[in-house]
Amino acid sequence: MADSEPRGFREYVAARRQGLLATAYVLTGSQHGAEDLVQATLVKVWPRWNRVAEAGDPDAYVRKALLNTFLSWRRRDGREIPSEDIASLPPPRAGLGPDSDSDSGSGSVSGAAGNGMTGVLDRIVVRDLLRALPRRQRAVVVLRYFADLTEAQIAEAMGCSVGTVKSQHAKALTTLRRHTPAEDR
Amino acid sequence: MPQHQEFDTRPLADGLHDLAGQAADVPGLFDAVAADARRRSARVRASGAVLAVGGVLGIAAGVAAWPSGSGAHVAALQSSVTSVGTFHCPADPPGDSSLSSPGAGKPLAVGSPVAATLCVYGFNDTGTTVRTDRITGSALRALVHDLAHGKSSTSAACTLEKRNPMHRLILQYPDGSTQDLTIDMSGCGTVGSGTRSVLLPTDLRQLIRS
Repeated sequence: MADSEPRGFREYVAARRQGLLATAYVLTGSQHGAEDLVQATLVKVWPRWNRVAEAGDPDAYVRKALLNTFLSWRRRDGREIPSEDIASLPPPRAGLGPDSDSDSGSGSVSGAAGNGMTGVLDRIVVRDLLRALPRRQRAVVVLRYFADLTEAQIAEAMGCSVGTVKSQHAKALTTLRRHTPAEDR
Repeated sequence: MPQHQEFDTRPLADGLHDLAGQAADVPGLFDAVAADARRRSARVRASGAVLAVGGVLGIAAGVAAWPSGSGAHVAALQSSVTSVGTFHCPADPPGDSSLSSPGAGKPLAVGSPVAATLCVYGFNDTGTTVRTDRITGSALRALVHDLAHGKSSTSAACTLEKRNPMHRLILQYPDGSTQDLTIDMSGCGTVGSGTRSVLLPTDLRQLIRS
């Protein structure tokens, strides 16, 4: 029964909570978005937890559920979607790359925010770069460079082929390169 | 691919980890998940019962389309703010005796509620109506923050306009206890516990009017 607490789920959430929130944070770009995404994911996992735990790889299942929830989050009404989600964000700044197609000069990718001295992109730049990507491409980038998954693992998590992951990855990097401040490339 | 071979991804990877470090922990996450999961379970059971009863009625009355409409309605309610939860609103709105003085008293929303139920009352020709909204997730956290840091109604210039009925906001805590707050839409609009009241948060006002 879904009313009774699945055995071991509380402990699992306690152990993985911060990691899930971190992944969700880079996917959604906001604390509220991360909390909503993780909560929605774990609510879906709750009734299936016993079988998930028995199968032996709950991390993979939860990661897949998180991805599915993120990718399928629809704009049913203004209350359901985290307010800082992608469509509400400004477009990337024009003129950062040779083939920039931005139609606005008011974007928030700031060259001054880049941290070229340490070789780490400033978190503001990273957040804005991710915002420039469609959700699937953003998910591929996060799974590849944050979660350190292989292309095969990403394909499994996203429920698509390795070829699709490769093409999404290439498109994402092309976009990121175009929008990265020159001094940070 | 030639384009991304030119792009050094190490700063991106480091930047992603740096960004992820901004994610704050949410110690009450499991309680919120548990409350939400149980509510969904109850809703599914309730919709199943509605469908079963609806099916019987539909067959009897020859109205076969009614149950599917109800099911679609249930499916549309899965959000941070959802209608029809397991917590039932009292049938009658709060009375004037539940109104509180501005400012003074204990802060509203002490601790970390796992859910809130908004009971919006109205009147029609046959009596009192009540609409139930369930608030969880980030919407709840934002609400709790607004209640804890709300301005006293004495800080605003308000009209003396009187509006009835009043509404309820019921905060539910992990231990099963509840805190009943009264929402008075008169003047500037306030929400209070009986010993303290603050101006009505904008999001709550919009939810009441939705």
